[in-house]
Amino acid sequence: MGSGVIKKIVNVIPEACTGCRQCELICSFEQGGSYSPRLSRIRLVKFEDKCLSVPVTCTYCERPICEEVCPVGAMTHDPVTGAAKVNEESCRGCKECANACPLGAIDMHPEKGTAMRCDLCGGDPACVKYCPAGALKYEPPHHSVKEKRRSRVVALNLD
Amino acid sequence: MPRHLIIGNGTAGFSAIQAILEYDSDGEITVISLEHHLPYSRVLLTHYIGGHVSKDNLYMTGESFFKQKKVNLLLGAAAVNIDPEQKRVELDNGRVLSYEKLLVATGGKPVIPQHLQKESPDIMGLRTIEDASYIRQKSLSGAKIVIVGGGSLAIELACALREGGNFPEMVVSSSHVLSRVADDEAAAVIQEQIQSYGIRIWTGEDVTEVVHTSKGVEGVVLSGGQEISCQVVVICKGVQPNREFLDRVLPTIRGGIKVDSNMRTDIPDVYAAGDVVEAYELSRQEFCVSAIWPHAIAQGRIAGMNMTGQDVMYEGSLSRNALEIFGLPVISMGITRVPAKRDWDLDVNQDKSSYCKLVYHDAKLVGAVLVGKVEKAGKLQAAIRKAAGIETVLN
Amino acid sequence: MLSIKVDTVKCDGCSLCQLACSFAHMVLNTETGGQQKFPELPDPLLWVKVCEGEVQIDICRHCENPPCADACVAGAFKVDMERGIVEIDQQKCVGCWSCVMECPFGAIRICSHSDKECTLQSRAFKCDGCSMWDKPLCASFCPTGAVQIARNNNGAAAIQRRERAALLQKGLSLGAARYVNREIKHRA
Ligand SMILES: Cc1cc2nc3c(=O)[nH]c(=O)nc-3n(C[C@H](O)[C@H](O)[C@H](O)COP(=O)(O)OP(=O)(O)OC[C@H]3O[C@@H](n4cnc5c(N)ncnc54)[C@H](O)[C@@H]3O)c2cc1C
Repeated sequence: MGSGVIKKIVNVIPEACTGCRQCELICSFEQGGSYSPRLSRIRLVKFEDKCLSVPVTCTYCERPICEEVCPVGAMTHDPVTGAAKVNEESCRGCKECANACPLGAIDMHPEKGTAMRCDLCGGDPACVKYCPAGALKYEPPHHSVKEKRRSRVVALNLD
Repeated sequence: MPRHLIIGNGTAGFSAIQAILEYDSDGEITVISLEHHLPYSRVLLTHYIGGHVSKDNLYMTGESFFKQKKVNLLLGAAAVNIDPEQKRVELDNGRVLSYEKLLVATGGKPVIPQHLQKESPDIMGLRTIEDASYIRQKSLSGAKIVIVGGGSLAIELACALREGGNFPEMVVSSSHVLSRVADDEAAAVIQEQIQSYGIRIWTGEDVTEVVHTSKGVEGVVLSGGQEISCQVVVICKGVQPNREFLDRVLPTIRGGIKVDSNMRTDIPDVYAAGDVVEAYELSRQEFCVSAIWPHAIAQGRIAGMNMTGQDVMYEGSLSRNALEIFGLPVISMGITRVPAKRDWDLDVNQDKSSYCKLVYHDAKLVGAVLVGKVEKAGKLQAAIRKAAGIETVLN
Repeated sequence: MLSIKVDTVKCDGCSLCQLACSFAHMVLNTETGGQQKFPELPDPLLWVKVCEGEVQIDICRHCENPPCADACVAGAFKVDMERGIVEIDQQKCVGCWSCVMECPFGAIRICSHSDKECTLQSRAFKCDGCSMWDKPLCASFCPTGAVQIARNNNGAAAIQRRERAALLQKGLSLGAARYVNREIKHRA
């Protein structure tokens, strides 16, 4: 049941993140119509003592566990674009998906009580557009790995 | 100009009101209803007849709700025609109401076969509080009651009457009770349970005539020739949608009003929900009337939300039924009768106290009948829905 | 609302949660000064079933938009936002089985004691979130962490986020973080 067709996801570069929460704000505005991080599909985890912030959002697993555990089939994805879709009418707010997602990428809507999952803004994620630090990249999943390899090699050479 | 007009103050209508209030709190809502009652639970009517629920507890809400939320309530008024061009609804008292969005939630009324239609209060269906009060009063005064029909409503009524100390008789045209929802084996268990409480069931028989004199109903004649003497005949042969007032705008429809997945009818800005509609049924994969409470609630809410400009879809009905027969729970859902074809399969588990049948089509669960032990019912329903849902995604 | 996480992979099927639930709902007769015989245990409000090596834990997830409440014909269900639970008023329940038919977790049962004196005969019952205890006892007693309950809604998601982010911080890539995270969970 994997999304399969997803070509690009939101890749996170925690080292670059400044912790400004711009992504949370713009996401909540795009998706929920107001500036409130609680409505955001991307959430920041801050480690104040280490001066580090890590944005966390859906990474589009090939076998989405949220879709597997949903008892009412409300967690779906578009068969064409692969974008995630929560059927808000069928979603009962049982929180199974939020509990099952190993990333913690699914939250419940504070008023509606339904699940919220990143839908990549229909192919143009606002969080990526508005990230001032370039900590979010909309790119094929393997790009981040490539970057990582590159930086490792560079580090080796310098040694 | 009222923005939202709702015809029908029943389950679906009330559910829609709540949805509209939630999403459009300053929208103007007007509700008209034929009955002189606040919304009440029809399902509790049999429990009221049986004496388990008082009349006051039938109501879903009080008058204060409508006052507080500023919902205009017009009780005792019936819609007789609608004019989609002018966006107006004509009432039987001559008033004309205009609307921006209209919801038709008029429910249904009992089907009374032609040959039994007589001018007598003692030949009746069961749909309203008045019907229930009448039956209760007759039952308490010891009248003999014959129930025509063997569906879940007929059974619930028979059980309720029996619990109130009355011994009704049932006349069922098929070979066993619950012929539409249960299979033969389950029906046999159920029938035995009912009979063990002293309720007589005539199967394979129809009422051909009601003996009716100046003193009122005196008995019924069955197709087999027998006569049963009785004072009241309650006909539980299903419901037919209340849509006569739409006949001029939608002359071609036969059964219920057809709606799309947003609960819209073919008329612009007119929505419909509840027992009056024909919605998509997941297990049979066709449009049909599926007159049960949970569908009325869900459809009402979706219609209400869409009337306020949201865009939510109804995932489809799954016909199902839950009832208790003197302590014996029975739940059936989806397709319960298996056509003798190759890709259909069955899984039956039976022991002394329970019966469980699962129906598969193309290796997918499409139906279930549970008697006695029913804890699994919810999980089975989820499985049936999921299987159907995945298929619609693939299509 | 309560957030209830059931992980049957971790469950050994010991059924301690079920027992704890019964105990949690036991009403001790204090008049006899605890001298009486051990009182009879009430029915639990969650059910553990081991069947062919698979464990099932049937417990209410306290949905935000509960299907049981939609199906209830008697208005007996209520979503109590303050206590974060879906509540049933057994005085209103008429025992029609509609909620049993709707709950995808099989978490509602109807009381059918052989004891005909039981006042709740033919009434539905389900998890009440242990609102009289400071923590739901099933989760407190679970030795493997198969049942975890957070009283605030997003507790579970937030914990998971933090765990994973901590791994990221250690220099693991996204995918690896996810893998390690799962591994840790299954091993724990
Ligand atoms: C005795 C009984 C037992 C039942 N038991 C069960 C059960 O166990 N389980 C289950 O799932 N379902 C059961 N049902 C079915 C369930 O009650 C219905 O599916 C549900 O109430 C339908 O709601 P509705 O809003 O569509 O229609 P209704 O509740 O019938 O509401 C329709 C309203 O529209 C009004 N109206 C009609 N025509 C007009 C008009 N022209 N102008 C203005 N107003 C109009 C009527 O007065 C009525 O108030 C039972 C029904 C009955 C009668």
